[in-house]
Amino acid sequence: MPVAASGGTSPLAPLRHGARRVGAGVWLPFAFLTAGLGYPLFLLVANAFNVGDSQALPPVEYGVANFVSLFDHLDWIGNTLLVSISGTILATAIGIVLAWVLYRTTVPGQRMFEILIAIPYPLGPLVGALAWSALGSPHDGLLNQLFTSLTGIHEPLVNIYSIPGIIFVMAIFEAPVAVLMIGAAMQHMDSALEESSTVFGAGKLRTAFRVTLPLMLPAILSAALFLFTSMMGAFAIPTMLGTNARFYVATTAIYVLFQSYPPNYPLAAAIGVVLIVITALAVWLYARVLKNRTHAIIFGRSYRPRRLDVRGWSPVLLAFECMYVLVSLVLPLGVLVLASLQKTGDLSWIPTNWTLNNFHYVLIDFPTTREAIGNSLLLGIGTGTIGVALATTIAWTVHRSQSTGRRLLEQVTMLPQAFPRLIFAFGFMWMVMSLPIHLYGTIYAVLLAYIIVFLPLAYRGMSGVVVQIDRSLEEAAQISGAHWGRMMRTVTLPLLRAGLLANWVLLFMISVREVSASLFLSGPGTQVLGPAIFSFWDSGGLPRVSALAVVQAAIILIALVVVRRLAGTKAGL
Amino acid sequence: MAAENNIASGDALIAAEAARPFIEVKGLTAAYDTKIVVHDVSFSVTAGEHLSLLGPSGCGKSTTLRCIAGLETPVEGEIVIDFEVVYSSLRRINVPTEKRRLSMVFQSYAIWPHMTVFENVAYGLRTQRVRGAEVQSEVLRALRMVGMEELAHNSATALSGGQQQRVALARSYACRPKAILLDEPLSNLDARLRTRMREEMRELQRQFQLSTIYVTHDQEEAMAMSDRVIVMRDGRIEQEGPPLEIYDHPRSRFVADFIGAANIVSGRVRQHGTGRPTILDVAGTAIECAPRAELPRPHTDGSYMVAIRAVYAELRRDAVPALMNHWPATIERRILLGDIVTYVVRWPGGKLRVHGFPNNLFDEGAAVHLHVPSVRAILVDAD
Repeated sequence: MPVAASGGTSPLAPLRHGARRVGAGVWLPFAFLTAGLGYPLFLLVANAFNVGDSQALPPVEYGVANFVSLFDHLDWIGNTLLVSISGTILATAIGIVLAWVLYRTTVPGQRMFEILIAIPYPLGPLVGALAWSALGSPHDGLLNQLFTSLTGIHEPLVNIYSIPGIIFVMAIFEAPVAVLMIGAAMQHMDSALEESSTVFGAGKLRTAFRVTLPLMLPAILSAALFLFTSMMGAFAIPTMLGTNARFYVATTAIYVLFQSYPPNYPLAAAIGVVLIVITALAVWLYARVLKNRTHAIIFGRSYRPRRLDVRGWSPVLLAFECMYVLVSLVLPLGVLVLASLQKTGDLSWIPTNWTLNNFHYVLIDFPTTREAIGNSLLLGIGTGTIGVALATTIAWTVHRSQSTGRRLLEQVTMLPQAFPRLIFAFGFMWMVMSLPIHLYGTIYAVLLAYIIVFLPLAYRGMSGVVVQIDRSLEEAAQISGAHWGRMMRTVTLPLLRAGLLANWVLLFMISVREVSASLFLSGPGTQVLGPAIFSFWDSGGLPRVSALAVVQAAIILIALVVVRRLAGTKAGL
Repeated sequence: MAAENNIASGDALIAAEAARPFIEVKGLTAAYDTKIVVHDVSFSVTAGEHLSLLGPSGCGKSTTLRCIAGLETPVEGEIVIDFEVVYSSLRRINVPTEKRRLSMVFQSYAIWPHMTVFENVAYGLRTQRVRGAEVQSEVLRALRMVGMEELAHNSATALSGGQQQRVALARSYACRPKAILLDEPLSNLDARLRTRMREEMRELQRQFQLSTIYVTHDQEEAMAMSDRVIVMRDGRIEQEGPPLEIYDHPRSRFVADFIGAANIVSGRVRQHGTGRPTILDVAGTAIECAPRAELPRPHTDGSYMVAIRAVYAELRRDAVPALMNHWPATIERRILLGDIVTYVVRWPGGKLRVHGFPNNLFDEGAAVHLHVPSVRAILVDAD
């Protein structure tokens, strides 16, 4: 029998069933993201150049007048940059120190601190701002009251309603992300690289600055970029801690312009465009610094890095960890619980004065908060489930398939991370309003926005999980006679289980606590926890808003515990 | 069940079946994106035969194996397993991996970490709808074969490299496959364990008489375990034959270099023709080569290559008169390797590496006599 002719000419020509195609795994998410991301941005930009009727969409008259009038409010942009840059530097510094103490030193309590240090992030900036305004308000803040009663001095110890106050609270509630990202790189670093530096005669300090830090730079910069974008779009902290002092940042200005009558949408959109340009510059700068600096060594096998015995410094570093947990977790939760038990706005230490009425009110009596809690739970479950499913599909396509365009898909997926969430939500709101289907004012609009803005985080997480699963584990199942469904059920999904759960709960938690992305999309009939807490803060009084914040924190902590239990039941994962 | 029959009915059946090809690969071409990694490769494996695909990394041997398994889709060609066409580009047949009834041992072992040792081995049986007590007995039998019976209910994550390797072997034998494919199964083990596993695997192969395709870059493994070896290079078959034939009669410089330690000497043809030995002129010295009907492919500069295995060159203290290929030489370097000794010898044709044994040592600088039997001077294709 003659061998199939290949004839030396292109052997790829005669048959296509070995060829690579653009699969549904590429173009479906691609189309979803391009539409869901591109159209809101287009509307935002179009509106920023709208100089005619401010309510018209699409605009009828274009011009740069909005950007010109921004020159009267350069302080908004300046303030945004001031708090974002300082906050990023502070949070990154905290992140570097905590990650190093956790993963590279012998300071005790690693497992416990690893968990405690991660919690402030899902608790979120809203809880943080609320709690710290109760702690550090110059007149009736708990810390200042204690200080006065202990020393008799009537000058406040801390004033959280200040620029340093805003930077501090922002930094401590975003720092866990830096710990996570930098910590991952530290765990994967081959300690032989440091050891060889000491062998060649470099001291500990020289090794740290000449070897460790440069190797960590990509992770540090990537964390810093994430924090910077996040802080540029931060809303809750600057609003709750800054408006008293008439300190406006871009996001609070956008909110004020949105709320004013008549709303000045074009100017708000122009601010949004300026913010996006700034984050785009930051992304460009990041890519430029890291050019030709891909350190493959870091991402190889997981090494068991040698831990440094810090001896005498151990108590100091331990104290630093405890201090962080105190200011970001213990004090905030403590003051909120205390405030939620009060009958009035004054904080009383006497248990006989305490009451559970506030919880009764927010959980049962008041329909708005009751509805908000229900909706947020649904949103958390929806975002978690759809987001993880979508992220897993994309991660699978990018890392496992041979489809053309998979790299582009990855970049598009990560794109939402470059836009401050509040700005994106602003554009998204217009898109939803302009759609022929009735989406505005429904919970599905919020769900869609959440999925888009949290997709980068979910994708980052699921990529890490997918990459770690050796492909031959699935191939071995196929060879053993398992068809696709059986392989998924018996091998792939069980191996993915822990990773799926972890990313699901992450999305659930950040959806429950989100305020920036839902601020413009929720309203009467679609109450959501974050914005509800925010508007309650304006009108409801400290005990009730604290009760609502405690409920939110409880949902998040319970989800965390339940999923840790679920993921931990099966040994070997 | 072909595999069971083979075990049961013994040598007579095997002898009868030995002639017919059990696995046939015809005109296989495979590519990653637009880069062709396997060019028009054809070979076959008879029932119960152990075939090795040997070659350096990137030679296409693993891709060929994965095409047989159905884990890669070729661009062209045909693959037949046990009279069933599992892949044919012309007839547009592509049987999915899980329907080919093969088994495979992966380089990473691919032991599922979320299952016990028992569950790992039972997996293939369960996909074949084998149930209950039969699974129990088959799995334990397979684990007993590899000496892992006691660890059956341990978690698979707690195993050492060698134990994982044994579980992977038990898993591939337990599911009663038509043939076993092995993709560099020993490359992650240390040298001592590798030698032991090599012998154990050869023993399992003898017991089961399953057709086996074994991919390796280690010439020792290929030599020790195979009935037949295919040497691959750049996606093509370079040479095919029993291990000793490939060792003794390498066809090209590449094969001579890749397998064993060989000296490659180049020279001009002084004499070649029917009935007369081929004689090569190497730097003014004549070498009589093993008889060969046609001259091999010369080097671009027109010279011809002759391969002389370091073990086949002989060193003597005294001259032996009237022998061809016999020259005075000097020991320039002596490298003691333990079981063998390598000498770098200066002879009229240049330098030669010669293997000797520690029981008869020559000192550095010693004057010796070098003899290369003419049947051991093999003319090979130049690159």
